[in-house]
Amino acid sequence: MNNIWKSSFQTTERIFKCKFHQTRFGLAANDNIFALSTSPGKAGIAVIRISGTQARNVLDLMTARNQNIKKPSFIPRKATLTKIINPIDKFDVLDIGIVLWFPGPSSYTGEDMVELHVHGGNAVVGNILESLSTLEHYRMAEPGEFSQRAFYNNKLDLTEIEGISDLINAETKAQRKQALNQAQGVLRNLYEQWRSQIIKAMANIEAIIDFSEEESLETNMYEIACEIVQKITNEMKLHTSDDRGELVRNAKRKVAIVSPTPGTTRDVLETSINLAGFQAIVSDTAGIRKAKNDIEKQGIQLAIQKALDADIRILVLDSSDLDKSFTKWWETSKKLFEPIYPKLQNNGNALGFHEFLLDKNTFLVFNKADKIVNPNMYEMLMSLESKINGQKNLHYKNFDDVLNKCWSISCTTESGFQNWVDGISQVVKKKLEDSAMEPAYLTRERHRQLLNVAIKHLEIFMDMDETRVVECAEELRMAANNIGKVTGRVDTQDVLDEIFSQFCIGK
Amino acid sequence: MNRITTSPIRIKTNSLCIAKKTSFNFNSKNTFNKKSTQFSTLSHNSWYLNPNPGFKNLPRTQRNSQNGYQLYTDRFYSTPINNYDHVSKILQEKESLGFVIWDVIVIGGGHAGIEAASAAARVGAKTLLITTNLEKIGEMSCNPSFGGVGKGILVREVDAMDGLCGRIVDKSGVQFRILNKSKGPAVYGPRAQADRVIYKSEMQKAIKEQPNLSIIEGSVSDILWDKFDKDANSQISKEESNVENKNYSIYGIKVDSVSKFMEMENHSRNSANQYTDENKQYSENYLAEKTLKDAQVNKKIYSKSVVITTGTFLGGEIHIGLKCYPAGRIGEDASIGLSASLKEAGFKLGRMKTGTPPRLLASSINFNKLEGQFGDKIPSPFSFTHDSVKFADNQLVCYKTRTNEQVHSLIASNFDQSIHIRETIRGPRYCPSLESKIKRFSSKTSHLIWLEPEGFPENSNLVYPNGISNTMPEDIQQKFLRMVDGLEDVEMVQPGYGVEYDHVDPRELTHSLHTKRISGLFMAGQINGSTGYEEAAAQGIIAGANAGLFSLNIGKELLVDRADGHIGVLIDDLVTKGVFEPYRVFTAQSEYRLFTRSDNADLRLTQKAYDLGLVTDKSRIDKLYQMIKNIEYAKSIMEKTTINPSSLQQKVNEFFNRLLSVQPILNDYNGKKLSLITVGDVSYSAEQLDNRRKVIESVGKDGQKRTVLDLVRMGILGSTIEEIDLLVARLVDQWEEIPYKVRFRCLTNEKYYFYLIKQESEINIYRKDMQLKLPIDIDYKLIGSLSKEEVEKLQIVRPSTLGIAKSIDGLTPAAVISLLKYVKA
Repeated sequence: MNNIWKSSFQTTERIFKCKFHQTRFGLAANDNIFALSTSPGKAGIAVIRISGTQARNVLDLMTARNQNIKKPSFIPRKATLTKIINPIDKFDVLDIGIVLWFPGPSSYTGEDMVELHVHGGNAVVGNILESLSTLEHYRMAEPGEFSQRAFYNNKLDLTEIEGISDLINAETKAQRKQALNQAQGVLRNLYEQWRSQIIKAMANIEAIIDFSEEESLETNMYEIACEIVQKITNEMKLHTSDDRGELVRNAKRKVAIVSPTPGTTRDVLETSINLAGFQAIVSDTAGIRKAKNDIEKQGIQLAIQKALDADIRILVLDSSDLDKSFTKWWETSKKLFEPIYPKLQNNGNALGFHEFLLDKNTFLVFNKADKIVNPNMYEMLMSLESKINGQKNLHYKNFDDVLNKCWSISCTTESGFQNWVDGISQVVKKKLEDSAMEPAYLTRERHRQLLNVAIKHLEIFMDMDETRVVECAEELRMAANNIGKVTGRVDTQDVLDEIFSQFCIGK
Repeated sequence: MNRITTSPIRIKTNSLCIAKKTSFNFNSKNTFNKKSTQFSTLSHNSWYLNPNPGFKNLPRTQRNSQNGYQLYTDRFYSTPINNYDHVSKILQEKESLGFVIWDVIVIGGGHAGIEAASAAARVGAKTLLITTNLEKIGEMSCNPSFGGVGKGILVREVDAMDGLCGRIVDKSGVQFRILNKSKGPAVYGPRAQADRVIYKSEMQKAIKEQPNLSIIEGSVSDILWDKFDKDANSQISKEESNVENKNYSIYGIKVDSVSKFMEMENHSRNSANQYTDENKQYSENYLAEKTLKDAQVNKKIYSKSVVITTGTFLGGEIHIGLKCYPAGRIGEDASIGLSASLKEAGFKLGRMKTGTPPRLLASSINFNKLEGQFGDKIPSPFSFTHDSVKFADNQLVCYKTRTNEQVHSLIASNFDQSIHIRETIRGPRYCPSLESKIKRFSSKTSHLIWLEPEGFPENSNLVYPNGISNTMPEDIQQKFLRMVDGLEDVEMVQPGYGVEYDHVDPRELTHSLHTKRISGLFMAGQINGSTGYEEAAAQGIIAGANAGLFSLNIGKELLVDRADGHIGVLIDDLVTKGVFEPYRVFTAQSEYRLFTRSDNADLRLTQKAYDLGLVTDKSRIDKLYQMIKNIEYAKSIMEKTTINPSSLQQKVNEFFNRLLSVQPILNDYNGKKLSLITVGDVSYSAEQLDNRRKVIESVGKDGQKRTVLDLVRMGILGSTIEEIDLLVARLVDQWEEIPYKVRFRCLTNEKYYFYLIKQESEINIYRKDMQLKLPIDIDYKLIGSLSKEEVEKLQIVRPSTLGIAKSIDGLTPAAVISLLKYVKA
């Protein structure tokens, strides 16, 4: 007996699923979004905005105000000081802060909105965001989503859009980088793999719908789709329930073969590390020197490209012979790359490639500190000063400035490492706090939520039988879209491609 | 320059209110209970209703003159650039010389051409159809069938806009079947085998009766087009023209030869249109005759717009084995000149191939050995105006057979005998020739062949073997056919052949199928890179209606978007994504397929088409509103009936227990053998029955009373419509008094209720994006912040709205915002 009339579903689950359906469809359409609107990190005040038809629920469920009938409830657009509480546990006070209530349409997005002005700091903000996500029909906003809603509700015209477009631009760019950050590692591949598996399952289901009546297709396509879905659902559940993904990324492991012999590193080696709470990709490139062979030449080419793309560059010099090391680098890069990258534009000034690299985002590290008797940063810099000052347009004019951009370390004795890591962490933090970039922990949280929704859809799929094959396809589509939001890929053509490559369709 | 209109276009009004406003006569018996349950706050099937109801009662001429009427134009996403002023100079001059100036000329009398000509004539444009052979109008040149999964929905949509093909199939169909019966109403595929001869004669009869339409036989050599005289001083050569500025405008066609015109019977049909002696010069036949005489001398026919529907005739070339000669269909000449002048205008042309199988003599086939496939006992008509089909009691049988390894090895050893397969021209992946199937899926040892009758025995003695289109030499075709089961003595009447033809890159078109290069030029059908009768007809009705509206110069367009129907998906895919293989519809291509179903095409499109004058049959609108009212009534009685768990259990279990005593029968279900208990149209397996019972028991546990409507929506009463219907009938009194069609449509809506709510919101967002217009003449390079790849993508598509820009694959949100910003600046 085939299992097409699956009796697997437990009846209680069925009711639960119906409830989920209601939750999902009843309001998923106009669901409520929330986000931290001030820049993340330590700050005096953090503002969390909530927008949506049920934004008022926050006032009812997360403030102590409405329990006390003597105190008047919130007056629109008037600041109210109140306790902010955990909606699940009324006695768990998360913070005391200012709450503002903007009933729609007189609000930024045109919907009902609530603003929570709370104390800055990751713990408080994190707790409140987590509490918000437990409310029904609430989810974290996508980058730019507030503006988008404002736009749809006729709250912005294109003039205003122009003003905020830079911001959204930055947000989306940062978002893309963020996505890429995780990508380089295991995660993106893993998610993409899941998505392509779902698409494979979809191809089976869609082929049943569009072709099975007239074609001689295999008869077990539905079962194949179920198997695929079952497998990835398990994998995804395992993934979201433990933190292995995190561990992989933050593990301090040996990623590169290091050796004092020049020319050892040829390929670009990349690893992702956590600096001051932000994800950063570190690329180790081939040293720039006169290459001995073709492989190394290619490695150097790659190094140049990477250096141009990077946000922060670190130039590692040999402190035992600083002068020679620097001169060699300087001359070689000039000789090698001037013909290839004749003039790169930087603030209107024509610069050579090597000059371009020495901008304010470039930092110096003097390695092999153990080789010299008395590592004196000041002296080392002095020896370079004549060379550096000889160049126009460099940012090393001010000596003190330079001092903050240099570190002396020793790979052998590991001395100076902590200073260096701290210093770079500060740089990264400063850089990212300036931009509107979303901190890694928020991105991760949103991704986790998206994956969970995808899992829900897959579970509903598993509970249906072949008589609901169209609904099955719909669930798979929604699951794939949710994963696509994490990896940044959504296209439907994939499914047809998959069908035609797998099945012989042709009547 | 670009105002954003975000005024709500969706009207969430209870259909009852509409009905009152429109003063349709409602049966007072059915008063609706508006008491809402937790679900009933949204009526998801009401947004397509017309918010301006008084309007449609006006005669069309008055409607056109009402300037304020802007319902659908608001969300149109392509702006017609009307160069009418420009060409009018030329045309006025010609008119003063006594030439007939047509509103619309349609080139080609295939499925696209017929629908285009008829649609243009229906919206009120004076239309001329020119075709190479009057006898071939309505010819089904490939398979003798209409519809299928996805395609069937297209036919229903064409019919909902008063198109011809659905009605004609109902009159000429010899076997009707709904495909995907077991997979849910969202993907039902109505399909019919038609009698070619009856189809053709019924079609010719129908178009002869179409007012405003004249038909001429002749061959077109070129189109007449001229530089857009906006700036008389600037001398723009044809080469310098670009897509951004519609520099050209059409004013007619050039003909090689014209021989005769078709005697129309349309003038006497409508008393208002009756031609007296003095206005005889406006009669269709008079105009056709005059045009014919002028064109025989002048070789030119003038018109305000032209629709090209040349099918495979554009640069067509037939392949049989290694033979290869220019032709559109077997025995008919290709049109070569047109192809050259489209190239000259700067259109990007591509080349595609398709094929058709050999035709077999029915009497030489041994059907006794083969498995038959029968039509539905109660055939479902395509047309919303029909309640049944003409030959319902006289349906023919199709037969199934298979190729075998012997056939495969014969063909594989003769691959070098076919030029079709060796070339790099793109053929479809989903309907490949037998050669390609054998080549690509060498592990499969057998492929299905459907033997489809081409008509009643008195009309045709041919059989169409669906599934084995090929281009092998004739002798090999005959040889391999005789290796197939049941075809041992078969006589091949006509060999299969391949056709290679030119198509225009459909990204040259707007969503109204108006070319971006030449104002007034429209294209539909295979020339746009699609394949299939239904796809051609669907584009034909859109192109024809829009050409008509363009020529009438009333500032309106007929645009069907992805949420309106599969026609919208078809056109949107063509004009934004382009084609890489002959395009056909699949339900998988539609993101809103749970909404754009075959059963509700009238709800989605009839009102819209009626507002533009495209639906001339007033009874369609009456029927539509009657149907809406009935569906609401059916819903309301389910909503009124609440039931407590114990009586639910009692009623349903009683029924199930009775079923369990029935002896199960072995049945075929999607290729699997199952023993099923069958009651009416519903089949259960024992396991499934048990399962259903458990579900119903579990509902009872919370002791809550529920309405029957809620039970249906929660899927507790089963998953197929027939099954739900059976159970609802046990729970709701008077249920079976409602006609089955109404019950079916009502339950279909409720079965997908949660999904439809979700899709409704997706559709709203999609339409908002589609409302935001972007100019299409931007130099994307100037935006600066876009990557080279993004600029290239934008240059190809030239999105006319934000929605289209967003749908471009590989365009980042940042790029879209930059685009918006640039447009503002």
